Amino acid sequence: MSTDDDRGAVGRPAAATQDIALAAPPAAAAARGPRLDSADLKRWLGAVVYVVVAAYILFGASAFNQYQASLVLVFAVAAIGQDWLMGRAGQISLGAAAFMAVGAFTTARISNESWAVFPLPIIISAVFGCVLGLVVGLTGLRLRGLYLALSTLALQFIVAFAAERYQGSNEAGLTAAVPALGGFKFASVQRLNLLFLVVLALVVLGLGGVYRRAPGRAWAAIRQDEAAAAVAGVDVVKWKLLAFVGSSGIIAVAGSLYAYQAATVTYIPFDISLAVSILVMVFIGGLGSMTGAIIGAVIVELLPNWLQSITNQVQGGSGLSSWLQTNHAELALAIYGLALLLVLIFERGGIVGLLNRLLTLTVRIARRRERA
Amino acid sequence: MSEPATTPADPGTGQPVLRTSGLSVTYANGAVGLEDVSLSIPEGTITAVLGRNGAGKTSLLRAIAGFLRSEHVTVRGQVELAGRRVAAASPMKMHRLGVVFVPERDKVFPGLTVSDHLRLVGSGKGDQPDALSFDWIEGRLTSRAGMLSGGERQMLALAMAVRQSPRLLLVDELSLGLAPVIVKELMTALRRLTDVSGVPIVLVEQDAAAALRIADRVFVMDHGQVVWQGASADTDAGEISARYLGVTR
Repeated sequence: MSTDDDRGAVGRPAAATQDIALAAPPAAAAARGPRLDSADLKRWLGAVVYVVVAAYILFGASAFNQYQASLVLVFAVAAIGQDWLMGRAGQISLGAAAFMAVGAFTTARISNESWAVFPLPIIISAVFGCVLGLVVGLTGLRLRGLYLALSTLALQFIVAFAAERYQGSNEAGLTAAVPALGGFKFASVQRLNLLFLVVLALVVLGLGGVYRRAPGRAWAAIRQDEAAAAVAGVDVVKWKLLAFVGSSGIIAVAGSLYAYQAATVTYIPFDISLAVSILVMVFIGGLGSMTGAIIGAVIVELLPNWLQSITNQVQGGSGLSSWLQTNHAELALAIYGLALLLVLIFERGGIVGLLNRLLTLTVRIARRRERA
Repeated sequence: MSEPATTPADPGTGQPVLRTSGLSVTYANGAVGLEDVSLSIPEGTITAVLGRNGAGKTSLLRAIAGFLRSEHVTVRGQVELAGRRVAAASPMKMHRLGVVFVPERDKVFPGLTVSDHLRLVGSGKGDQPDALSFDWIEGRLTSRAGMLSGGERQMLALAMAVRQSPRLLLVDELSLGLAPVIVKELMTALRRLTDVSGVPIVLVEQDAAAALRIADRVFVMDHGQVVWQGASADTDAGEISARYLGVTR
C-alpha cells in the first residue's frame, strides 16, 4: 500500500530490511516442499456437488421442486452478499431486504425498456445497490456494532417507505419483462434456474478468488481486530467501504433475480422479516463461508415445506396433527429461532463448522486405522 | 521540552529521521498525555523510552504514528519525518511514509495463520521465508496465531514489522509478560535489525535493564514530560529504576 511518491521524501536506510534475518537464518528454509492443501480438495468437492445438484434441478426435479430451487438460488446469492459484509468484513447489517428491494424494483422498472437489453437490468441493479451501499458504508465508518445495525435498520424502513410510495396505487406491482439472451428466452422456471445457477456460480467463483487474495486477508484482519489491522497498515476505511459496496451490489443482484423469478414486484416481501431471514441463513449455514450461506438458504427456504410434507403424513385426526397442519409455518419460525440459538451457543461456525469437525474427526479415525 | 535532570553526551549524532518539538497530548477527559516533548531520533540508533505506567510513553508512540489524532485526541506541536512535517498525518499516511508501530496489545489476529500475517503485510512477497526473522516461523506457517505462545506472538509481530521495510520502528512494551530468555531473544533481534539495516527504533519499555542492554540513547518520562535523557552507556539502569520507575535497588 505504500507508494514510491510517499516514500520518496524520506531517506532510506542503508540496507533493505527484507533481506535481514533477526535471528539465525532458518536452516531448512529452502527445503520446503509442496503443502497438502485441504482447501483445494474442498473446492473440488464443492464443484462436483454443485454440478450434480444443478443437473438434478435442471433435469430431474419436479415442477414444484424447480420452483423451490429457484427461490433457494435467489436467496443463496443474497446470503452470500450478506456474508461478505458480516462474515468476511465483520460489519453488522440489517439492510439486506432493502438492497434486494432496490435490485428488484430497478429490474422491474427498466427491464421493459427497449434499451435495457438483458443482462443490463441485472448490471444496473447491481450498480444501484453499490451506490446505496456506498452511502450506508460512509455512515457505517462512524458507527459500530449495535449503532451500525440500527442505521441499517433505518435504511430498511426508508427503502420500504420509498418502495411503497413508488408502487403507489398499483397494487399488482411492477411487472418484470422475461429476460432473453439473443433468441433464448428464460421463459420457464427451468430456464430461469439455468440463469440463476450461472449467476450463483459466477458470484461464488469471483468472490472465492477475491477472498483467497489480499482483499480477503484485509477483511479477515478488520473482522478480527480493526485496531490491529490499522497498525498492520491495512487501509481500514477503504476495505470497509469496499465490503459495503460489494455486498450491497451482490444483494441487489439477488433482488434483480427475484424480480425475474416472481415476474411481479411489490414492496410487500421486502420487509424486516426478510432481512432477518437472510441473517438467519448466514448464521445457520456458517458465518464466513459461501457454502454455509448456500446451505442456510436451502434450510430457511425449504424448511416450511419439509414441515408441511411431514405434518401431512401424520395420520389420524388427533389434535396434534391438526395443530401441526395449521401451524407449520409458525413452527418453522420457531425452529429457525432455536437453530440460531443453538448455533450461537454451541457452534459459531454453523452447519459448515459442524461438517468441518466431522471431516476432521473422520480423517483422524482413518489415520488411526492406518497406523493400526 | 522540560529541562532534563541530567544530560550526558548524546550518542545520536546521525541524521535525525524523526524530530518532535513541543509535542503535547490532551485527552478528551482533560488528562495530559504529553507535555511539550521535544526529541530527535537519529538514523541507526535504538532509543529507549522508559517510565512508569501513565508516564506518557505509549501516548508518545501513538502520537507519532498518527493514531491519537485519528481518535480525536488533542495533539499539538510538530512531528517531522526526515524534515517533512507530518504532525497532521493519518495512521495510514504515516504507515506509507514508513513509520511502523508494534503496539503493546492487538498486534496479531488469532484467527489468521502465520502465513496470512506475513502475506497481509508483505504484499507480493508471499509467505516465502526471505525475511522470516525467527527460525520457528518457517515450520509454523499454517498455525493460527491464536495457538502461538505470548513470545511467539511478539516475534510474529516483529517479523511483520520488519517485513514492512520500516524507516522508523516504534515498539511498545515488547517484554510485557514474557520470560527473560524470550525478552533477551527479542531485544537481540531488535539490535540486529538496527545494526544491519540502520532502521532507527523507538523502544518503549518498563524493563529498564533489558532496554538499556540494546539501546544507544535513553529518554525517561514522567507525567508526560521527558525528565532525563542521555546515552545508555552513561546510564545506570538501577539508578534510573530507583529514581524514576519506583523500583528499589
